[in-house]
Amino acid sequence: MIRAALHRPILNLVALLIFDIFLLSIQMRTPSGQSLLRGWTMAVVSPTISASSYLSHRASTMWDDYVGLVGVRKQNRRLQQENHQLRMELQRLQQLDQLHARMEGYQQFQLQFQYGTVAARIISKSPPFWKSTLLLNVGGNDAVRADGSVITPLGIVGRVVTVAPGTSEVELITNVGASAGVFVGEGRIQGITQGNGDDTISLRYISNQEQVRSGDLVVTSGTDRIYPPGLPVGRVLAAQNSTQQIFKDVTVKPAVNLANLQEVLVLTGYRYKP
Amino acid sequence: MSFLKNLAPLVGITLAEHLFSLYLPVLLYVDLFTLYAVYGGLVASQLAASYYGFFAGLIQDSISGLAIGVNGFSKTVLGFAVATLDRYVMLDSTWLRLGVVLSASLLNSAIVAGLLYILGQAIPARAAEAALVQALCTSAAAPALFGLADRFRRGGDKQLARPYVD
Repeated sequence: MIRAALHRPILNLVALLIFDIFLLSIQMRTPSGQSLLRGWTMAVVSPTISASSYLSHRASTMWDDYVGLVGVRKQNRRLQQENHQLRMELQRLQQLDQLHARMEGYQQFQLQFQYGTVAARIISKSPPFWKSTLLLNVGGNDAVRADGSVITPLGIVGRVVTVAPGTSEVELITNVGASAGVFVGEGRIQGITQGNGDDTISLRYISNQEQVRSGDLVVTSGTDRIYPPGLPVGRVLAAQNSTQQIFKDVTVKPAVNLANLQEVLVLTGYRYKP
Repeated sequence: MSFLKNLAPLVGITLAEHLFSLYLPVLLYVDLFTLYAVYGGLVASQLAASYYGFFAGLIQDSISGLAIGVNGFSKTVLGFAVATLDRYVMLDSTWLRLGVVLSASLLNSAIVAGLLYILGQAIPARAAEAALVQALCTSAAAPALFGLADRFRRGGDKQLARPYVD
């Protein structure tokens, strides 16, 4: 009877859809915020993706090492220029940091967070239509934990949402729904970022009374307990007073070019010390 | 055995999508998994097409970061719907197939958005725009990829044909 039923298309369709719904329903979040089923799936799928990524990476490296040397001199000059710019940027941030220490008392702000980092290579990126995620080649075996911050020297990238033994999935800060506590500009106005699902971020809860200008630096505040304070998030692209609400409409361009990312750092052992 | 053989292209599609995501993200606008589910609906029975869509969707979920089952649900519906349509309408002209792929791609996006909404997940502000562009790109790629699939299936036969109908 069951065999006969399995050959009925409608019954099969219903059975498959129920199974899909079952899969969706069991993807409840664990207390650490991670989906159990998603972790298992990644553990099964990621070896294939890792192998494919390794092969494509090796092929790409061979190409870069032997054929792509033609443009190295030009690239070297460009990198030196970027290095100078980054040094200048670092000095500017250090000055900002010192300014803050003088204004608010450095002791309250400093050393509240302790963390180490692990370098990771991006082995896969999700299609960006519904969700913006990355798959990294490090996981639980490398001390990566759910909610770990993912950064580059330029700024924050996102947070770890799922961890498998050898891989981990990262939600980008531009993903719709992703958020972080931040300070904006020299006035250190507090706000919350929210991903727009494209290559920009919105800033929430910045009052119309506050002075926010295009080009202002946005850094993490640490209030979300995920990202350590003081890491660059991006720069204000546009800010205007909202006529409908009491908060400004502020758009931020991320400091990190998320489309061209290849390597990142994952903060490990990071803990918030209130 | 032929059922398993027909699932084999999913391995190639998965690897292609993975490489596109790393090196040519613009090609992700062509939803190969939707094309696979629609093609399954055009060439297979309702029963088999449901399974083709089901497996294609689950694999897509596993690499897209979405909850497992979202695309599984939508692609199962797509495979079944296209196979059912094919039972009553002769879908042998290129224009008809383009229309089917366009509608299927839009239906897929609508189902995914609906499920995300029901699950309480945020939906990107530009989802509708992205869905439309993806549907157009997927439709544009359909004739060439269906032609290619036909060649592999039939050793060069031009016509899509369903092997059996329930």
